[in-house]
Amino acid sequence: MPRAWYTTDKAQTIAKRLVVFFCGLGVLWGLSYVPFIAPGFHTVQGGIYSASSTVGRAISRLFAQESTLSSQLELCTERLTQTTATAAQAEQANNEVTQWQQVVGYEQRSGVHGLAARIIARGETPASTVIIDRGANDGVAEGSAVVIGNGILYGTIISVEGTQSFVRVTEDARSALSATIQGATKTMGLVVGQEGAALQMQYIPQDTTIAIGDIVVTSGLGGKVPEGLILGTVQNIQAEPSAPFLTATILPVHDPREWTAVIVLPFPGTGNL
Amino acid sequence: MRSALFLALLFGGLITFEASCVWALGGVALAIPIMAIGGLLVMHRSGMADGIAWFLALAFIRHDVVSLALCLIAPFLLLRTFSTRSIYALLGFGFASYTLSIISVGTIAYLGGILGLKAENLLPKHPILQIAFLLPGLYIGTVIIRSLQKNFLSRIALKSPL
Repeated sequence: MPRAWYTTDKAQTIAKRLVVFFCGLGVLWGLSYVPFIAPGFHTVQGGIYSASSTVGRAISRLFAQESTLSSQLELCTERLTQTTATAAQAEQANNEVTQWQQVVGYEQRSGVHGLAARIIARGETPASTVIIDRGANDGVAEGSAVVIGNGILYGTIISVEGTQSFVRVTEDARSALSATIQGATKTMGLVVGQEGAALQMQYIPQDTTIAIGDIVVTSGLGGKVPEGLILGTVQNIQAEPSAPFLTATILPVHDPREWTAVIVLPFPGTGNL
Repeated sequence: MRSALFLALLFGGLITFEASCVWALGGVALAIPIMAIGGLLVMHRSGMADGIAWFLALAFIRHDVVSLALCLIAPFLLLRTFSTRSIYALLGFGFASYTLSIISVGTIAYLGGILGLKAENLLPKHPILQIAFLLPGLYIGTVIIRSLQKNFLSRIALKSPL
């Protein structure tokens, strides 16, 4: 009696081969889930994929049509412009954060709590007037000192409106502040702006001990601008034997154009704003 | 049974090579049917059972209807039409099998569309390009197999399934 086809040796051999084949596939599939084998395999596979896709991109660029390249160039140029603008905004924001950090640091060190403000408009020249976003509604008063960074005097409030105020920077020619050398107790002179990058300290008594490099600070005379706010450093001293007073050129320690974050100080002895 | 294990390893290696290397090139390389070429070579040189197992596994893993059609059409062509002795028979067998499979699946997709079934995903993306790549792929595959048999497999005393 002939045997059934599935009982023949050939059929059984084929069946065994198929079982081994599918079991082999199952083992390979299972190995991909083994914790210490799968990451290695994926690393190798990822490396092959990365290399192949790099080659593929290079080949597609070789065969790219001119119109495709032109449109890609246009797109890249547009993205570069946008990225440059974004980078400029990011740098400006970073600068502003740094400034605010310095302002907060000054408040913490001095114990004076002023009113934080932002410069929203400038005059035509750096040594001129700026507008800040705080006004009478926030308690700002004419004559208040405006400082930046680490206790550096930026200017004084000359005009107040409801929601904004005008600040005359120290470099402005109409600015005049009583000043002294840091560490001294009495007023030594008057610091006036020079419509440029420098200040001039006038009416310094002939017998005053003053040297190049000395730090010039406000003396607090007048009662509106606190004492100890930094104006600049002595750059040179003009002395004439026949003149009753000395004159010194003061170099400011800041550039008014660089600052956007300021703090408005209350009048000395009046508390916080 | 070592040859069956070798076949399983070959299947796993080839499917990884296709997905990670060939298809990663992008462009027209996406239309190179590496696994179909491998399966047709296996069926032509190693036997119908191995080829059917190959395409069944492929159909199961990739949910590929063309591979399922090849399981049915290719053995029939191998038994009735094409010999297993020459490379021209291999090329004819590969071309006929794959073309008939795509036509069958296309017909099913068309009829399914008429009946309101969403069957447009059954067909591969670039069927004509795939057939165009199939013939040189089968030829190159044969050259590689002959070289492997002579230089590698015989040295490690492994009876190649191909």
